Amino acid sequence: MAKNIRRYLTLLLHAHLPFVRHPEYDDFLEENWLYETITETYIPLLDVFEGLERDGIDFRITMSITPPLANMLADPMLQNRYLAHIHGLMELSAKEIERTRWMPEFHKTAQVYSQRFSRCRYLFEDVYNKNLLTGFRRFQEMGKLEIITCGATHAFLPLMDLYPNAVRAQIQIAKQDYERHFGCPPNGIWNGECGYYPGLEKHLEEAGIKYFFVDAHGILYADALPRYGVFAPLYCPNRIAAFGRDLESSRTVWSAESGYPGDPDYREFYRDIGFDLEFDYIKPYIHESGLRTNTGIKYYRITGKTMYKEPYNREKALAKAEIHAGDFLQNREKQMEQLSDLMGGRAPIVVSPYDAELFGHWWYEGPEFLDSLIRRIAQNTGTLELITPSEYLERCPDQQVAQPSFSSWGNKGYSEVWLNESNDWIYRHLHKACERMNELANTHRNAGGLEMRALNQAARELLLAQSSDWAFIMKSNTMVEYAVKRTKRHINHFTDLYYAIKGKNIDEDFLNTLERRNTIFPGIDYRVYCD
Amino acid sequence: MDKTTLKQKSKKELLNIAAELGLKTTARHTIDKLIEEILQALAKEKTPSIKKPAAQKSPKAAALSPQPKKGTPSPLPLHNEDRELPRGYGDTKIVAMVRDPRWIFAYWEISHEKKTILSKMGLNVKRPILRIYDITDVVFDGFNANSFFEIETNETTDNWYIHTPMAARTWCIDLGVKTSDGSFILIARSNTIVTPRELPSEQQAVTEGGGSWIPGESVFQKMRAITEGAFSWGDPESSDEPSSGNRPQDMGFGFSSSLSSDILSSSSLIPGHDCEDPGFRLLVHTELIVFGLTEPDADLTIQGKPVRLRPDGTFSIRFALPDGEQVIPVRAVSVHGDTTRVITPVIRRTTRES
Repeated sequence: MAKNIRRYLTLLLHAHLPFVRHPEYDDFLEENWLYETITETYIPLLDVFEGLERDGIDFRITMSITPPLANMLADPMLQNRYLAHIHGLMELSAKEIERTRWMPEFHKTAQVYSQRFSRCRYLFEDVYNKNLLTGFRRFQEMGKLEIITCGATHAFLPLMDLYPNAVRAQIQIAKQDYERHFGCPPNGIWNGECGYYPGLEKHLEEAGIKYFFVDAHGILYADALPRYGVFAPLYCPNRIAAFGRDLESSRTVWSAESGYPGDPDYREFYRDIGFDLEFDYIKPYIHESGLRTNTGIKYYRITGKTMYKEPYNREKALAKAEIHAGDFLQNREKQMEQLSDLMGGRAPIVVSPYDAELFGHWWYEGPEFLDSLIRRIAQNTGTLELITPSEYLERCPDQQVAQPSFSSWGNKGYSEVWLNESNDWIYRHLHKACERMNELANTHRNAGGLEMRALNQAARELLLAQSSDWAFIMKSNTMVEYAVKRTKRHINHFTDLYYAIKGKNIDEDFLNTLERRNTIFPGIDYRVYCD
Repeated sequence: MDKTTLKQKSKKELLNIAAELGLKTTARHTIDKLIEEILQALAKEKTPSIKKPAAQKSPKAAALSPQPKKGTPSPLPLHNEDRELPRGYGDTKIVAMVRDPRWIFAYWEISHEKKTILSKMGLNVKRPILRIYDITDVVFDGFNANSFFEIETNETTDNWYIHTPMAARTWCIDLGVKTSDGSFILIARSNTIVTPRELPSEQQAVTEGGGSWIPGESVFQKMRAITEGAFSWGDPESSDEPSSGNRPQDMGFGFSSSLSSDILSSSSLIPGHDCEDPGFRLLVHTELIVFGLTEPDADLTIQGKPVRLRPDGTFSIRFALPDGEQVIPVRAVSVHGDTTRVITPVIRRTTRES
């Protein structure tokens, strides 16, 4: 009986990086975040999709491409810098093939890197014409990929709820930006850090968004007992659907302890030739100041919790990814089996959200794992099916109504990661800026020319200050200085613009500089902050 | 400043200039060497005037503000964009925020004017009081709270983490001071906040099609267990017991302690190496550079593999050199194929450790 009931799996990849773009420098360390993830995650994911298409394998993946990431991927300056970056890696990997000639344990891996970098260059430049968004958009238009949005700058909205106009602006600007890149409005949203507070859904509804995600306790602690746990969405009272994160499948991938990515056969992230090789040789490929950085060429496998690392063996690692994909599928089937018994005639849905950057960047074999998983599901004779949330809601429109609970996917499940002794100082400034932006918009409803540009730039600076990334980095204790600097700078820019606009004393050079640097949301309209 | 000008200066003056440029020089430098280094440093400067060198930066700071290269447009100066943010904005207010079911964060500001007024009234503004009202299901008018408690703060702070006795309640905070007879003078009242639930609701489910669902205890428990992953699905690598940090703990539903833990969130991916302490490190590697020259139009191979020549016929190849013997025939064949020359370095590396 239960065998005939469909069982659904939603794989959600949350692709996000904060907006880091520094035209004022030739070589800016934090811009590497983008270049590394393009090489290791975004292109490999597209390559997986291309391969599935080539082999005629149907699939469904849901992906949030956040507005800051989309803006960076579409930015010509960053595109050209990436191209220079990948050319550097191609050159380095060619040298590495020579250098490792007498070390067979590394030589094969050097060849793998060389091939992969060449393929990245080819796909980036020749296939996608430097804009990877076109690749993702194509798979969305084929109905295989559902791209959803995120708050304009990945703000942690539960700590902004005092300023509904600012929350609204995060959602509305994200929606407009999505339309610019993908040619249609977004159906769904991944709220930054999976952050939710009751009432957020009214802003989503206003933007025409039909669903969002919460962590498991967002569903389980809803104001009515959720009949099907996280294995069915809840409708908020305004009928916006909230899907809950499945924890079991999260754990097998996320957990550094027991998750797949920690397997000894997988590539070790922390041993990079940028740190390991002789300085003069590696110097052209690290930061121009001579500061050693990751290059992306890594020759070792995780091995174990020791400093001693064994050489990486690509074939063995890929074989392990196959095993893990099989294991993942088998466990979902067992899980679904139990659920079907408990859910009567309902089709359970398991929602597994991951940071996209986990696949490839951190877990080097992650894209191959996904590829194998998707192929196995396609060939599977069972009833498990990949689905997007939109398709699921079309097929199963009747759902329980309840108000989900305030929640996030951060450590301990609420706001603490973004509100603790390391970062709580930012909120009085962020809140003040929200209040002032609202005031500016209300008192300058018909601005034009220079004044309008200043108002739009003020909105950009506020949005950039609101990225949850800064608070997160302050808490995490790496690159803290950069996060503090970014927060202060955007607040200071905002404050200077605020007084300039109010004093009718706008310095055009200053505005030009800001516009040239912080180019995010070219089509922004500050009026979104009006009451 | 050009070479001629520098030549006219004394060694001491040159050393001073070098120091201003941030150059590492010693008195042992010759005058010529000093001039050379100063000229090099000046060439690197955007403008040919001597500037005060930037303070020595940590690698991180250097990364944050790499020096623009010569010839690239310098960033337009921005009005002091890295200045410290103000301590306050001249407001008198208190704001409450939700940290989690049991903790509230509050920050406040009392304007200078307000402080002056309060002081003139003889009030002790150095010890602001937070009065936290539980106003769940109440239309709060300042006097009808279900209950309240107070926290005495001090002048040195403007924020506080407040532990509350119950989750899922509605709260409001008054910032005030006490008069000498103990009565509370209000300075500012916060926004209202609702702390999240920390347990499942006791409300029954209502489905869209109408009709309520009375949860069988066992069904919900099982559902919960599946949600938490308490059932083991059989990890091929590890034992069936999830590691302790990863297991639903304690009574209740324990989500806050187990489900959204660090290891399941993106924070687990922040670089930070979780390895044994390396102790005192010493690593030694060797590399070998084979370089030389032949006719620019010749074909060159090293160990049988072709090598690209530079336009002037020179070449250099770098190899990681492991222990053992390497026989490295370098073979050049002239463009017409009529001349062949082979030179074969033989290199042996042995490593002793003591």
